[in-house]
Amino acid sequence: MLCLRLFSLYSIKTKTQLMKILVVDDEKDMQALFEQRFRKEIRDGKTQFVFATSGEEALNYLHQHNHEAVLILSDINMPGMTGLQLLEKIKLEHKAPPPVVMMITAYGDEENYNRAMQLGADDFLTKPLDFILLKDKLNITA
Amino acid sequence: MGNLYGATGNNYKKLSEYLVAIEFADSVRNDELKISAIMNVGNAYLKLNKLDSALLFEQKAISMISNRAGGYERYDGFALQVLGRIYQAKGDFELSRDAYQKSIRICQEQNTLPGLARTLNLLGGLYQIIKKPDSSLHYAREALETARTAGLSVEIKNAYKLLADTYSDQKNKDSTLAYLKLYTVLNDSLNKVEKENLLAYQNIGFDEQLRVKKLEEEKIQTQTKIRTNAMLAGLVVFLIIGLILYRNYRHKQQANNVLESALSNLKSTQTQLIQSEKMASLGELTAGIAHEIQNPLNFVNNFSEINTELLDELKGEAAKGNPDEINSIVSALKDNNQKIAFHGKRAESIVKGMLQHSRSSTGKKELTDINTLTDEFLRLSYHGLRAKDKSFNATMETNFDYNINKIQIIPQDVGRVLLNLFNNAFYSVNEKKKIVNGLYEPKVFVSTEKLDGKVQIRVKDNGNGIPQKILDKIYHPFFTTKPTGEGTGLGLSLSYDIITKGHGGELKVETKEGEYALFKIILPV
Repeated sequence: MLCLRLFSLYSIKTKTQLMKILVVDDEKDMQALFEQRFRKEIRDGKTQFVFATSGEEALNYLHQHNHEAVLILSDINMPGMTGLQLLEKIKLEHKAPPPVVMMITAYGDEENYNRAMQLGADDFLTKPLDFILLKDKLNITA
Repeated sequence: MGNLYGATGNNYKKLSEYLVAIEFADSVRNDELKISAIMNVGNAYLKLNKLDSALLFEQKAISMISNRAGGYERYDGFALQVLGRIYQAKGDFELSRDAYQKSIRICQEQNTLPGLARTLNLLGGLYQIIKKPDSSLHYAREALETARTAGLSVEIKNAYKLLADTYSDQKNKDSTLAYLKLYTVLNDSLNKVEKENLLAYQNIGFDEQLRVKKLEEEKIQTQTKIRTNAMLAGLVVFLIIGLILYRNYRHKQQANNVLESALSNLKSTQTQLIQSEKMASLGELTAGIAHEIQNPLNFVNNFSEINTELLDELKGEAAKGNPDEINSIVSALKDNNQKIAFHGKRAESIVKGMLQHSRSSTGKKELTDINTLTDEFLRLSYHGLRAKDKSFNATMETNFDYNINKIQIIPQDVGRVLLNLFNNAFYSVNEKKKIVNGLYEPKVFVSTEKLDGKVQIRVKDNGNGIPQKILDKIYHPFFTTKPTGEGTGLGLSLSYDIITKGHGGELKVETKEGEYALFKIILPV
């Protein structure tokens, strides 16, 4: 169900314009990893990445660049604001149009999953990230 | 006894017996006995011809008798008689006569015939001496009459003698002869009786001496017996004491054996407890460690995959002969390789730290970088708790003094102390967050500092703090504020031992309930 909904959502977006993705993770090397994994997509202008190393930084970015990011990928376990708190804030503050938020966590337990879903997460991914699956979900295969 | 000696004429003995009697009477407060004894002492002194002493005692007796009311007057007659005799002996015939007359009057009043007969004789004798033969004869006859009435042979004899003497003075030969005859006959018979009495008494004395000797022998025997018995009793007592001591010694030895085995049991239990405490804290960390390892491993895997792709691309570009593209790919490869190496090392150091923690302490001090050790265990602790409690989060602030040189410590042990303090700090802020929520921002501050000849590690949290009433218990083994099953209660106890005993350092605490807790580890350089 969910995947279908996401699929249709992303398909519409990618057809019309470049997708801007905000990645939130306290691991700084995530930036390098995403940039390398998506180097072709970036080079081809299909997608663009913005990085934040904390929930607070991510919120600041969203405030400054309203509705620029259409997709948010966030880690859950971070010092300071957690990914779940960020999710809650985003869903409360940015209602129309609501950005798509996908949660990523190393702790793929039920409790985290349920909580994320309850707060309105659009998808739930576990580490280690399967980039092929992610690209498939984003429907931006190079 | 005094009377007995008196009768045998041994006046010294009589005297001493009576003197003893006085003391005895004094001690038992028997006035009657005392008066009697004093009277007799006077009599004894008189017989010894110590007239002044005799007078002194006799006067005392008389004054005592007159001072006492009732019952003692009967002694007066005798005492006055003795007084009369004393004065007579002193040659004071008038005082003597007065005393005799008083004595006679009292004896007549009380009808004490033996005393009366004797005193009448004495008064008669006095008159005979002072050449008043009529008076002498008068009293002698009265004495004779009284003595006959009472059947007193000695006084009858004395009266005969006095009558004979007085008649002799008056040259009345017939009367003298008649009374002399009567006197002689009576005296002979009396002497015989007296001698028999004396013999009997001497026998009594001998028997008594024998008896006394026997008594003394018995006494000596008894004493010997007592001594032997006492020695035996002493021996038995010593034996008993010895047995008790031996028993106690055996008991003590047994108790010692029990205690020794209990001690060794306790020691092995303690070792096990320390180990299990270590394993418990390790268990808490496992998830955190897994997370810590997983992240670098993800990077290693991802970047190596990317590099494989990049190498394929490089092959293609090389075939095309596109140098810009080749350079770009090579530099990306190099960067990625560095990242692989970095995250590989990161994983390695985590595993190393974990191993170090679980390994039994070698107890060897080695040069250790305090900052690295502190940072490593802070991360282990943080991720451990984060893995355990999904909702957990806290801000860590570190302030390391990089002027600190490596110091000699047992890294595993100090690491355990740090882990303990960090776990406690995170636990505390997390507990507070559960209660306060909202605006509360859980924070743990960790800093290192170089002091004069010392190194200080400060671990501060803005959690619940430690209540004053339990502050002195926090280092006690098995004391824990955590719910049953969550804490071993050994963390701080072991930490305290490691820092103070193991390293000669100090572990100090400052706290304000509801605001903060600050632990300071001070280690000598």
